[in-house]
Amino acid sequence: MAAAKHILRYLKETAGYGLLFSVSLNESENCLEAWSDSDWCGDKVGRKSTYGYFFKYLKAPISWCSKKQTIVALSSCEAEYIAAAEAACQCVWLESMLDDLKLDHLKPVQLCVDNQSAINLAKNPISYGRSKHIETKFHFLREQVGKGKLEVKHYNTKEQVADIFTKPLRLDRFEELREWYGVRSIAEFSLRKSVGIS
Amino acid sequence: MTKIEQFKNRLKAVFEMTDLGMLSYFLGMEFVYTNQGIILHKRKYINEVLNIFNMDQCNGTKVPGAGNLKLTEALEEIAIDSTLFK
Repeated sequence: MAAAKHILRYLKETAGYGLLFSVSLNESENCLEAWSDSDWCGDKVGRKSTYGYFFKYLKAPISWCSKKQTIVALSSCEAEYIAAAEAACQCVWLESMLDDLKLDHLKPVQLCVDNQSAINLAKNPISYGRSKHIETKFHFLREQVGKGKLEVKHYNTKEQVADIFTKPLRLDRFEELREWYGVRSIAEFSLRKSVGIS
Repeated sequence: MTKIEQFKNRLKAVFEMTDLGMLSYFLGMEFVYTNQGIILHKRKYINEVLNIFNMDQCNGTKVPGAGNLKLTEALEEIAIDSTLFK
């Protein structure tokens, strides 16, 4: 209950914040980018992990998620692998939607994962002792990578941009990341009354 | 005439409709236009939610969750119908 109230108090503080869809576009930014992250055993009772992913298109935030995983992961690598697989599912849907809207984007989609073992697991279709128990549905990620739809790459743990979805952060870090995600206070901007699209 | 104008006129010919101009409010999302781009925000919706829970006069906080928070199962609270929020 206290946590729920805390969220409402946060909403109260930030009601005047919104997502910025920037006008400054150029062709080289025509990409769909994704980040995924997971903690490990964040839930101390059920031992399930919390994951999150985030998509940017044309440098603007379009899709994100923060959720508890449905099963218990045996290793941090597995938790990250599951997070990346969930991001891959969302990615397939987003791509088909962009296609419907006749919007182009650079292929393959870059998915940033901050766990090297999870990346290796996605790239190499091998099964060995410690990964053979991973549920079949999460190998959807491996299939997408194999087909060349997705490119999984590592990102510096210092950046850890998807951290924000998996755990509470210090205020300075939280605000820094929030800005990176494209969240801005509308009070910062001088509003234009009438706008023609140039 | 731009293609958008042509398209709007064709729609108007078939359906009864009015042109409300630039997008400012849609499905609870509000839009403001700035020199740097469009900002999507939900101030109205947030205030409605705060009103529902009588939290409209509460003190704000800068982070959405406390760092040392431990969530446990709420055994003494009555379960609510979760389908209400779906």
